[in-house]
Order: sequence, then structure tokens, then C-alpha cells
Amino acid sequence: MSHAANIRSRILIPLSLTFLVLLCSFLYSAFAIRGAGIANELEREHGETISIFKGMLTARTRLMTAAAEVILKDPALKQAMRSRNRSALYAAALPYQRKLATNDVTHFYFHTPDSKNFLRVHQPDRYGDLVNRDSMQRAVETGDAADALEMGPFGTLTLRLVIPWHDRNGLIGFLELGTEVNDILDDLSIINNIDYLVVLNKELLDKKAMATGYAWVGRRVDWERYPDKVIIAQSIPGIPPALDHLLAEETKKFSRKKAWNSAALDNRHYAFKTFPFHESSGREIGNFVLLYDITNQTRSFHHFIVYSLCFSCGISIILFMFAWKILGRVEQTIEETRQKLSEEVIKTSEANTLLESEIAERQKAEEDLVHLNAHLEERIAERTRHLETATRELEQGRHELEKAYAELTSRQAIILHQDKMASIGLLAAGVAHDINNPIGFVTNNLEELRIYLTRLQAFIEEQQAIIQASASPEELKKLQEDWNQLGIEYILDDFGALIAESLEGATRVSDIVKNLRNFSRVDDFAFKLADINECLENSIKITQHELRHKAQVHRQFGEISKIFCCPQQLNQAFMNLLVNAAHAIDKRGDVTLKSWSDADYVHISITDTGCGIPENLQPQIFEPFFTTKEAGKGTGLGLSIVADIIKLHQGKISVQSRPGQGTTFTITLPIRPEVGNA
Amino acid sequence: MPDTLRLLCVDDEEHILKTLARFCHNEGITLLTAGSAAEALSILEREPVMIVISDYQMPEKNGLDFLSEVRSKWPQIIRIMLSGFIEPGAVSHALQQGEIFGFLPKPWQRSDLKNLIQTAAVQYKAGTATERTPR
Repeated sequence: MSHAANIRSRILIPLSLTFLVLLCSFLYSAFAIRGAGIANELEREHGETISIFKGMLTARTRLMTAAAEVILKDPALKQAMRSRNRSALYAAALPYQRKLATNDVTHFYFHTPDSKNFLRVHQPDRYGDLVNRDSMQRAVETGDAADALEMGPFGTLTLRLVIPWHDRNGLIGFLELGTEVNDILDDLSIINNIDYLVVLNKELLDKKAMATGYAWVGRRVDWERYPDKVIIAQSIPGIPPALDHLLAEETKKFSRKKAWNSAALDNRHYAFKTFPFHESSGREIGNFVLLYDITNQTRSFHHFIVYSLCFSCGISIILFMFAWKILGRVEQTIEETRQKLSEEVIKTSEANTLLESEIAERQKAEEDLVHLNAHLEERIAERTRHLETATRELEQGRHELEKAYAELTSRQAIILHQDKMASIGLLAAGVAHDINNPIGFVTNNLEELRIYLTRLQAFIEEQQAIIQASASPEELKKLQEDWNQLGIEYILDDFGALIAESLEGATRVSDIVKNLRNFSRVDDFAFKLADINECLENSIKITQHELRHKAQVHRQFGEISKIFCCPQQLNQAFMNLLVNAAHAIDKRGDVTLKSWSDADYVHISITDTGCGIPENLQPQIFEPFFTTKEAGKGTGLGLSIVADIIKLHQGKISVQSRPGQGTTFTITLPIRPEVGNA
Repeated sequence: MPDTLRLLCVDDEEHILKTLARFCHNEGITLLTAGSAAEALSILEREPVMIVISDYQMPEKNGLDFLSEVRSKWPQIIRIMLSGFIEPGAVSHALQQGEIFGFLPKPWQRSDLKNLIQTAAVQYKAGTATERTPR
């Protein structure tokens, strides 16, 4: 069964592996698609969040711009700035500052055209420092209003607006307004309904300054929690451990490009991604960590995966088992076939070996023979040809002789019988004249005698009448006595019978002669159209002398068409059968002749009520010289002649016989035999 | 029979001639007899005859040859063959060729002979000497 096991494993292991690979591909694809979907979602959410964030910044900017325009139009402020009167400026600006503070605009500056701070309204005792923030630089460069999100030295995020301040003589300075935007970050989660963290890189910050700055805006930060990052905003109450762990790692690793990570917190699952967080100048100051709640998604995805796996595994197991079974059967068949084949191969190889050795021997013998008989071969071939020809001729001759002999023997009996009958016929013909002449005058004389008798009777009656009238009583008495004594009355009565019986005898003699001649006519053995019923009638006439004393003859002749035959020979056959029938009947019986026909055949049956033929002898009865009659009474040729004659007519003869009850011979003759030569 | 029929019978068997003589006597026919063809021919030279009845098998000359000669010499005479042995083919041939008017086999029936002679007589009277189509 090692082959079988091989086939099973050869098919099933690759199949199983293929299935596993497909399953893995499926799982990988499912996860990859899901991952890509989530990554897209995160990107989209991020984009949306950032755009909302920017929108909110723009709104603040617009607010500040509106406030700035009001401030810049104040002539008192303008005057104070032109004259570089710091105290006047501060005094004029203070009302504005209070108003701005209620709108969260916490920063209020005046700068000189050379970018040096002239007055901090929110911090009047600090001035004269060079302002090189991005927003300022852009305002100087473009000569137009510039706004920017910037991280200050305290780690707070500030939206600043710098506007150049012109009068009729040109630039007199810059107005700068600023607002803390950390609260905007808080609002994002409410507006966009997402979770996020905003972290800043510690390397850009100072612990103390940051604590101060955030205390100032009313916030707290946990500086010590992570080695190089500090959280400034978060929308979820706690930080998932996975994210926590990641944040604890170094910045480089944290910001490494990865589609997204997952994290769990309080039965919620999150996908999170870290995006860089930039100032308006483009400087990266930290990260925006976006958290996306995938709890439901993950659950349904996991359900989907579990169901798919269960389904595929189930189907695979069923297929595997089916294949296992089918292959088992195939293996069995293959194993059986292989065994048969190997047996065949062994047999064939044995036979081949035998054949090869035989061929080798033969070749050797042949070579020897060729070598020895090279010059003899031609002569032998020639001799063989001659011998073959001679043998063929001999064989043919022998065959013809056999055929001829068979024909001769089969016809010998017929010819013998025909000869015999012909001799009888010749004899009959010879004596016919001699017999017919006396019969002729005997019968006619008898006829004349009958006429004479009639006349004599009439005369005697007349004479008696006259005598009765004229004679004496004595004479009459004498005459009466003589009449009685001589028996004249009897003579006159018997005369007619006597003549009739004599005539019948003469007729019978002439009939015998006629029949003998008809029957044994030598000149008439040709085939011709003849009526079988006539033949039967003739045969009955001929055998009348045999039949008359033994049997009542019954004729049941049917209407049959004339057939092409030799009537003389058929007569002979029928006659033989009738004579046999007569011989078979011991005292008295019946002989019945029947004839009938169908489309192609005429049937004749001759039935006697004689002694019958024992069943064991029936097969032999048609053989020549077979007889059951006493020695000297039968020739044993009768039925063999019948059989030959019927054979000559291409007919058939059969016998049905029951000992003690009788015998029926049935002859069937073709209406149109194929050969018509006697 | 009307008038007197004159009949000549030829046979080498005397008993046949006697029997025929009895028949003719009883039937009222005038009968001449001859024991051979030569005798018959000499009678025919002398006597008028209406019908000739001849046997077939006779010494010297057979019945057919004799009747043939009668036909050539006295074609008006009706010729009848009465024979106990003759080839049936020869008889039918002779009948067809008109050599003979009728054939009667021996032994014959009295009534058959009577009928044949009556027919022959009618034939003789009805026809001229050449009533049968000559050859």
C-alpha cells in the first residue's frame, strides 16, 4: 500500500498546502484591506480635523483683524506712536486691552518699523527687544498683514496677527495681536467627534517656563510623564497602554512612518496614527495623535473572519474527506491493476525469455540448415512444387472418383430396379399382342353370345307358349319333366351371370397387361409437368392385385398443382410403398393415400394399419438391402429406391410408425425443383 | 344400318376375323375378310369396300403401311386400325396425318366398335373420295 499512500499524500498534501496558502492570502488580504481602510479613515479624519482647526484659526484671525482695524484708526494711538510717547500710547491702548481680553486676545503689542518692541500693553514694563517671530518677519517683508500659529517660549500655542501701521508720512510701526489657541484644540473633539492627543517635543521647551506659561492660561501639564514629549491636549480621559508605551519611547521611533497602530482602553479599541504638528513657519513642534474608535468595526471584522474561517475549514474538511475516500478507491483500483499488470509483465517476460531462447535456437538451426542446404533448396522447392501439383491432381481425381462412386452406388439400385421393370415392360409388350388378340375375340364372342342368349330366351318363351296351347297333356308332362331334369330353368338364369363373369375375367387380364406396359415403359424417364394424384391413381391400379385382398384403399386427394417431376419414377416409389403397405397388413386393414400442397411443396402420405416398424429399426429402413421380410421374399431395395427417387426430386421422406398400429410415410416434393434432369 | 355397309377386315388371327364376322352378321353388315395385306389388296381390286379395318402387327406388311397403300389407291375408303400392340406415338401421328380415321385397341369393347363403324359410315357418305385433307 506504499504506492497508495504516496498517491494520497501526493495529492492531498499539496491540496492542503494550497488551501492553507489560500486561507493565509485571504486572511492577509482581509487584514490588509481593513488596515488600508482604517488608514484611509485616519488620514481623512486628520485632514478634516486639521481643516476644522485651520477654519477656527481663520475665524479668530478675522476677529483680531476687525479689532486691529478699529485700534489702528484711533488718532490718539496714532499720535502717541508717531511721537514714540510710550506712556500716552499705553494710556490710550489700555481700554482696548481690557476689551480685547474679554475676547481672549491676550497679547497686545506695538512695534517700531525696525521690528523692535515698543510697548507690550499686556506687559508694559518689558520692551525694546527685537521681535523676530515668523509673523513679524513676514509683515515686514510683505508690508501687509500677516498671521501665524506659533509656539511661544512657554510652550503655549499662540495665533498672532501683525499689521503694518501707516499714516500720511508712511510706516509708523506695527500692531500685533495674539490669542492663545490651546482651547481651540479642546473644542476640536466636540466639533469633529474624534479623539486625539497633541504632544510637543520637549527639546523645544523649558520645564519651568512651560509650567509658568500653562499656569498662566489655566492649564496643567505633566512634564515628567514621558522622556521627550509632553501632552498639551487630549480628548480622552485616559491614555491607552499601547499608546502610552509608544509615547514613552524616543521621539524618532515614535514618529516613525507607520500606517497606524492599535490600542485598547476600557473595552474600546482604537486605531491611532501620529501626524506631525507644525507651526505656521513649518517648524515641527510636536505631534498630533489621532485616535479612531474601531471597536464595532473590529468586532464585526473578527466575526466575519471567524465565520469565514469556520466555513472554509468545514468545506475543506468535507472536501478533504471526500477526496480521501475517492482517492482510497482509486488507489485500490490502481493497486489491483498494478498487481495484475505486474503479473502480466512477469508472465510476458517469462514468455519472452522462452521465446527469445527458442528464437535463438531456431536461428541457429536455421543458419545451420541454410548453410547445409543452400544448393539443395532450389531442387527441393522444385520437387515440392511438382509433388504438390501431383498431389492436388491426385486429390482432385480421388475426390471426383469418390463422388462418381457415390453417385453410381446411389443410382445403381434405381437402375437395377429400372432394368428389372424395363425387362418386365419389354416382356409385357411382347406378350401384349399375343394376349390381347385372344382376349379381344374372347370378350367379343362373349358379347355375341349374350345377344344370342337374348334371342334364344325370347324364342324359347315363344315356343313354350305355342307348345302350351297345342300339345297333349302327356307331351306337356314329358316336356316339363325334361325341363326340370335338365335344369333348363337354372341354365337360362345362370347364362347372363356366366357371360358377365367371363367378361370381367377377360377385362381383368387385359387390364393387367395394360398396366404392366404403362408402368414399365422404358422410353419415358424424362422430367415433365405431371399430376401427382394421377401418379397415385396409377400406382394403386398397378398394385391392385396386392392390395385387393388385404386392404380397403382410401383416397384423400387434395387439389394440387402439377409439379415438374419424373412420373414413371414417382410411380415406382409409390408402388413400392403401396406394396410394402399391403405386406405389412396381416389379414385385413386400411391403406390411406393423402395429398395436399402449400406454396412451394406438394405433400403425399401413405398410411397403413399394418404391423408397424420398431423404433430401433426406423433409421435403417432406407438403407439398401435392409429387410425384415423372410429370405427370398424381399430384396431390401424397395425403400432405398424410394429414398433415392425422392432425393432425385429434391424431396424428403419421413416415417412415423408405432408397432402394432401402423405406419405413415410422408413425402414432400418441391413444386419447382432446381434441377430437372433424370 | 341404312343400306348395306361393305366392310373389309384384315387380321392374321382367324379367331378375330370370326368374331368380327359374328358382329357384322348380327349388325347386318356385309363383311369381307383377309388374312394378310396382300390378300386384302387383291380383294379391294375386285370388290367395292366402304371401310377397311386392319390389324397392326401382321407378317410381311404391317397395318400402317397397308392402310397407307389403301389410302393412295382408294382414298374414299375409311381406314380404321384395330390393334393389340402399337406405339402410342405412331398412332397419334397416323391420326394427325390422316393415314387412319380411327384407332381401336385390342381387346375392344363391342359398343366402341359399333360406334366407330357408324361414325365412319356417316363420314363415308358425307364426304367425297378426298374428304380427309390429303398430304
